[in-house]
Amino acid sequence: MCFAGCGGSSGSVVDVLAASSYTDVADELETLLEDDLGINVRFSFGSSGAFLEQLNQGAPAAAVITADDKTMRRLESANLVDASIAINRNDLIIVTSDSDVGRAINSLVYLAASDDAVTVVCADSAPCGAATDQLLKQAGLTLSPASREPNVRATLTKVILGEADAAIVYGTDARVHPNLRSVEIVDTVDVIGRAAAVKGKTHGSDIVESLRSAAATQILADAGFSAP
Amino acid sequence: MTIRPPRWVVAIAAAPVIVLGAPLFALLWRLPWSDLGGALRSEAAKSALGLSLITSLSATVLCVLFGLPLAWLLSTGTGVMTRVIRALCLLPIVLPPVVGGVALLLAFGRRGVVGQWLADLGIQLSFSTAGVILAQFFVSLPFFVLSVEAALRQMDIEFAEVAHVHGASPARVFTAVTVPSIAPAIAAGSVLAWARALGEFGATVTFAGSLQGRTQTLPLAVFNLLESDPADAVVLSAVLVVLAVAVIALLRDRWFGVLRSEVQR
Repeated sequence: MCFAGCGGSSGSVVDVLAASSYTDVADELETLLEDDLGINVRFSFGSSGAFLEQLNQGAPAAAVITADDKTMRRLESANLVDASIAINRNDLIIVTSDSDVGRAINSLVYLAASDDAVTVVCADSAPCGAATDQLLKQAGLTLSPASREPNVRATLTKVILGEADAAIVYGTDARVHPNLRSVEIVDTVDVIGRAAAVKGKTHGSDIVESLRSAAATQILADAGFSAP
Repeated sequence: MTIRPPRWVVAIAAAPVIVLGAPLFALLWRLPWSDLGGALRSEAAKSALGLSLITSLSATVLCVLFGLPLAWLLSTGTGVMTRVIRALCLLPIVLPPVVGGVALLLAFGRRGVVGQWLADLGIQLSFSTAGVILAQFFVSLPFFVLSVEAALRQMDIEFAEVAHVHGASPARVFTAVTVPSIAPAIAAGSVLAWARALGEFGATVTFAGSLQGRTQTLPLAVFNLLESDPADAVVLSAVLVVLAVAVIALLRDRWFGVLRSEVQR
């Protein structure tokens, strides 16, 4: 909904729903889309898991970017979006705080075995949580997290604040704060970020087209999102 | 004689009734009646319900234990300190709960002002059930203190003075005379505080996190289920609505009873 007075030079604002892992590339992607298409674009962030209900209830978004393909498939099968495209690949890693307990963590196996480390992961309804569950299952490990946070950024924040010693998040998230230490995971799980136009919305397919341009791929690559 | 409001007033008054009533109606309308049991028997629902009852009742008990002395102190004071403490008591009511959660983290988190001392003793409140109770205590204490303080201020102090003159100590007067005479307000304040604790979301998820069986209370479970299983989320929401209606039914006698007796006096 846009009341008189909102928006800028070209009038209305076009909304894009994006997974919270894209928070730090939003400014650059917004500028790119605005230059490409001559429209005002505004990103809003949340857990991809919540997008189905939001679009079902008529959230005013022209395009949607999910963190993984599973949530995008749900949007597609609910007939809420047009056919989606892959825009990037991301992987899971461990981030730790600079506490003594945090610094000692050197692998997923160590983390799973540790009794001292306070670990947080994403909720199973969020893509990063589903990927974490898959990762642990593949590795045959069990983890006793202190909390399952609503989305990847909330999970990361608990480590930045020092409340948790470690978290399992996307590789791109580890770059956002200088005090975070990242630990690679052997045989990690990849997640594919996908973008799609919301059915019946103007500008949606233009936005998706623009997101797969070389310029957009470069912005994503600079932030650590590899090519799909 | 009662003056009946004109028709246009009735028309305007109908709008908020619809705004308040429609969500309740919609929730019951969308309730999957045939699958109620299944949704309530799920592990997430059972543990959230149990955890919510334990934490909200614990928070209420703490509100009564610590709120009564505080309300007594506030009701007798007139100075600047009293006004400052009362403002402090009002704060959690006007503060967005999520901001309360951030403030709790900065104070009682592992690296918080108080929390780092607790951490040295091996106590971590964040991510614990005790942390949930603390968050609920923080947001619900004002409701108890303010209801009880109001009753204490309006109380007929004659009996208390008689008892005091006859040699009863202040503490004895408070427990034997004052508390029984403000019992309705204590009950109403407790129910209000309990209801607020039960519905607490923002401060809990920010400070205590969300883990099934330990910190995931009913409102947090609803929020989580909304993304994975919306139908179950509706059922759990209905549980909270039923509890809310029960609170209103309880308060109808207690709370309005107090008001009525005040008006008559």
